[in-house]
Amino acid sequence: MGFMMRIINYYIEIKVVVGYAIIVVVATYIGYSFSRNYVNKYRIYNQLYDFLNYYKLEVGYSQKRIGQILEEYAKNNKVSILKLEEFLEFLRNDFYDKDKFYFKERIYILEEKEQIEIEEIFNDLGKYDLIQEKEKIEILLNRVKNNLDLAKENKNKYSNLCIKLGLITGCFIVVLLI
Amino acid sequence: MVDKIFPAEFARLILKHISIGNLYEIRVRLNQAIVFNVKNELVFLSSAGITKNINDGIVASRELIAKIIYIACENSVYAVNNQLREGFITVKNGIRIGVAGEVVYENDNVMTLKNITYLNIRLPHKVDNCSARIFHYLIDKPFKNTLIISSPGLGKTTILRDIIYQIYKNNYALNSLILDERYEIAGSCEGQAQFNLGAFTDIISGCKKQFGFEMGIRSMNPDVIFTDEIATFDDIKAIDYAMASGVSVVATTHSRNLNELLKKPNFTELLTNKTFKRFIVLSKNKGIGTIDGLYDENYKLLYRD
Repeated sequence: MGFMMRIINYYIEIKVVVGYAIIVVVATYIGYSFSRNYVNKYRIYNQLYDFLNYYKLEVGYSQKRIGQILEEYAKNNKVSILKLEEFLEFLRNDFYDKDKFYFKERIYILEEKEQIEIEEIFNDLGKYDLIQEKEKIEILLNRVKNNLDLAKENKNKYSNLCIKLGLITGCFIVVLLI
Repeated sequence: MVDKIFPAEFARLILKHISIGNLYEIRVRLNQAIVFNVKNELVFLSSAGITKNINDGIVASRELIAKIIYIACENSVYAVNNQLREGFITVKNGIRIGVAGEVVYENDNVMTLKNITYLNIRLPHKVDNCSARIFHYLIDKPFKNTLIISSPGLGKTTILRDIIYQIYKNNYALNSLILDERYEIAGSCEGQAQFNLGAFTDIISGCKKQFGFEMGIRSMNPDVIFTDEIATFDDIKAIDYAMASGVSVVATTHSRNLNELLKKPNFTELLTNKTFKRFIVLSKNKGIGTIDGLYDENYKLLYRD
């Protein structure tokens, strides 16, 4: 009988430990989710900056049409966190009907103001002659670089902090429960 | 075809009321009714259909003109900068949009056009075998140097295009080089000709004639060079260079008839030297593309429609 009771006690203790572990993991995951926002925001601006640099090069050198440039860029960059494919689709299908490009679904990580800013960048592409277009890309690159630097700084500052905070919060809850 | 030029809604309206096969030209002018040349008859388009009353015609707004330009250059104005400087944009299917507005200069060089408010949209038509009845007068070894003469819009380029195709169709294995300065002959878009010009054809697009002739002869070793709209002294020099290199030339030029051509100072030497062996004069006496006369180097009439 005593043997059976000991097994049951062990079983309950294991369940409690697993429960504590789950609390820590969940709290850490929540912290990780918050940190992804900073990482993804950085990745969005990084891709935008990278695309604009590629665009600048192609406009100055090959002078290919914007659709071609996007296609080639997409081929070399399979993961499009910036939803470049939506802009490409707009150029292919909706451009004849609609005057402006809008994201079909908002990029939830970005603030509304930032999303509108990116839409405006896309809407402005290709509207000017060669000299003006090059000058305009330079201005855009500077602006995006500022946002990228800020996003990078925030990522470095807060993304690890969020994970650590999640972990600490999890541990704290466990300590309180014990 | 018009969906490559106009916003979708407007294109649908055109397609609903006008047969594209009969549409030759569209004139878009800011704050004026859009004019459609349908089988050489000028008409307007209202939301209800074709009308001859200018007051009922749809008026071109600044936004519409801007949209047409963006659509024509696939939202890439920078990509057609060189064409804009020359006053036109080439669209897929060989459509050519002539543009007019304010010219921007820098150091006496044309930089670009701004405030584009006038468009002349010309829809090309491939008229199969339109040169077949005169082709045997031109073909020889070497191909006879030929000058096609007419006023604008009477089918010079169409007949030139067909002559190129006839070479292929009749199995004359002559290497043909098209110097398509204004993208009108082959209507190349992204390097691809928009017309079937046969298997013996190479195309250099958007290139000044003098440079094109020199580069083409050196690199492509052609038997015949086809080019459009020769006018300046530099063009004539380029033709001289080709002929001195043993290459035949078929070209077009603006002139009402042979007598008017003889009065053009740039052409005096070419004509005196009997450089061209055939002259094709076009008119619209029996409809656009009527061969008003095919002459030899002594201006003796060989054929007339």
